[in-house]
Amino acid sequence: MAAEHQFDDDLLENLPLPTASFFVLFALAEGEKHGYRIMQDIRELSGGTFSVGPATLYTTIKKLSDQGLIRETSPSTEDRRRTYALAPAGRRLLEAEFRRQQQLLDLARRKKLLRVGEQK
Amino acid sequence: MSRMYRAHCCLFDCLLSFQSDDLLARYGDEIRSVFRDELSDAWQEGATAVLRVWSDILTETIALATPRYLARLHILLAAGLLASGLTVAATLGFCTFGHSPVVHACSQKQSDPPTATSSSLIELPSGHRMFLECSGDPTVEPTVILANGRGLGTADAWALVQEKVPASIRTCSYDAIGAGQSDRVQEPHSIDQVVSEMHDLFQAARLKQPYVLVGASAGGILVRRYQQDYSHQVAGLVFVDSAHEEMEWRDAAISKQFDPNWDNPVSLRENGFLPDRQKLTWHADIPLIVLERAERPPCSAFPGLNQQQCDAINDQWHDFQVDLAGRSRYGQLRVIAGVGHRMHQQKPEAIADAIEDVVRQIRPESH
Repeated sequence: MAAEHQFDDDLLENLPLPTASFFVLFALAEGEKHGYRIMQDIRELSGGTFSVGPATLYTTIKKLSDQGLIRETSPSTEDRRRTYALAPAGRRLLEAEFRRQQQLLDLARRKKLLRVGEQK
Repeated sequence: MSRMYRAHCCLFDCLLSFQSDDLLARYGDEIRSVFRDELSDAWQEGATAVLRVWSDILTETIALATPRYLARLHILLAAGLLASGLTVAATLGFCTFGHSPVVHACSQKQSDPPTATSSSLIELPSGHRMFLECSGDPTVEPTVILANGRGLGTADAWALVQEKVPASIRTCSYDAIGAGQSDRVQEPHSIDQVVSEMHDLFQAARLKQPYVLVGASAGGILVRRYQQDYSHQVAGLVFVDSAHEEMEWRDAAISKQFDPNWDNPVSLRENGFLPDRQKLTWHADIPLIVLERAERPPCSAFPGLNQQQCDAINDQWHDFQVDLAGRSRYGQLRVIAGVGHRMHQQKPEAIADAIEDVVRQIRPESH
C-alpha cells in the first residue's frame, strides 16, 4: 500500500490541515486507538489548548476514513469499541503537514521573527 | 447520582439529534459511548469539569448543526420565492399548469433523453455491499464507469465529472470497498482483489456492456489491469493524469529516497507496479484518451530531492503520459492547461469532454 509516493502532490493540496484533522492524525501516529483515547490524547498533545467534542471527533473520523487516511481496525476481544489506525496515506499527509510547519518556522527564524528554541 | 447521570445522557441524546443522519447511522453508538466515558471522568473531577464538557458539547453542536440548518433555510427561502414567482406569473397569464388548450407564453425546455439517476447498495457474491450511483440514459451503451479503489476512493470524488457528462451517456461511479457507504474490510486490498470486486459489482448491478473505464492517478493502473483481465468487456479508456506501472523503479533510478518501498516485492505486487527493469507490455487498440496535467508539482512535494532530480521526476511523468497514449493505435494525449493532479475537481469538463469523445468513437452513429 505504501508505494503511492508519486501522488504526494495530490495529498499536499489538503494542506494546511484543519486543526481537528491534524490532531486526530497526530494522536494516531503513535498507534491505533479508540475514540475516547483519541479525544484525551488530543487534549494532552495540544497542551490543553485544543479539544474536540464527541460529534466533532466522529465527523473528523468519518471524513478521514472516507478519504482513506485512517482505517478501522478489529476491536480486541475484551473491548468491543472500534479502534482506528493511520493508513499509509494519512501518515504521509501528517509528515507533509509537519514539514510545512517546519518550513514556516525556518522562515520565521531566518527573518529573525522567532529565535531558535523560542516557544511563543 | 445515577439519576442525574442518566439525565445528562438523555440531554446529550437530544442534542445529538441535531447532527446529520449519516453521522448518526455510522457512529451514533460510538459517539454516545465516548460521551459517557467523558462524563464519567468529568464527574469524578467535579462540577467544573462537567461544566467544561457541556460547554464543549454546546459549542460543537452549534458549530456543526448551524451550517446544515442555514442550508435548509436557503432551500426553503428559494422554494418560497419560486412558488411566489410562479403564482404571480400564472395570475398574469404567462404560464398555465396541467393540460390546457392555451398556448404557453413561457418556453419549456426540450426534454433530454430519458434519464435515471439512481444510487443503491449492491450486494456482491462475497456478501460485501458496494454503493453505486448511475446517471444518464439507462438504455444506451456503452456504460462509462468512473473507477475507484486505487487513486480515488468514493463516488463523490467524481461528482463534478458525472454532472458534466451529457445525459445521453450512461455513467456510473461507486464507493470502493472500505470507503464511503460501501462495506468496510479490515485488511488493505491488493489490486487483484480490487479488480475482482469491480468485476463482481458490474455484474451484480447488470451494467450494460461494453464499458468505458475512466481511471485517475493510480486508478490508471487499475483500469489497465481490468482491461487486461476482461478485455472483451472494455471498449474504451480515459486516463486522468495516470500513474505508470514502471514508475517505482524508474523513479528509484532518479533517487532511491523517492520511495523506500520501490523494490519491496509485496508492495509492488499489491499496487500493480512492475519490479526493477521490467517493462510494461500492455497494449490495447481501443479508443483511448490520456489527459495530463499541465501544472507541475512544486519541488516541495518531493522532500529530499534536489532541483535536478525534481525536474527529472516531472519530465518522467510527462514521458509516462506519452508512453500510455502510444499503447493504442487510437491513443490521444491531451495536456490540460491550468490543472494539477486533481483534475477531476479542477477541470471536470476536460474529463467529461474526453469521455464524450471516446463514447462517440465507439458509437459513431450518435451525435
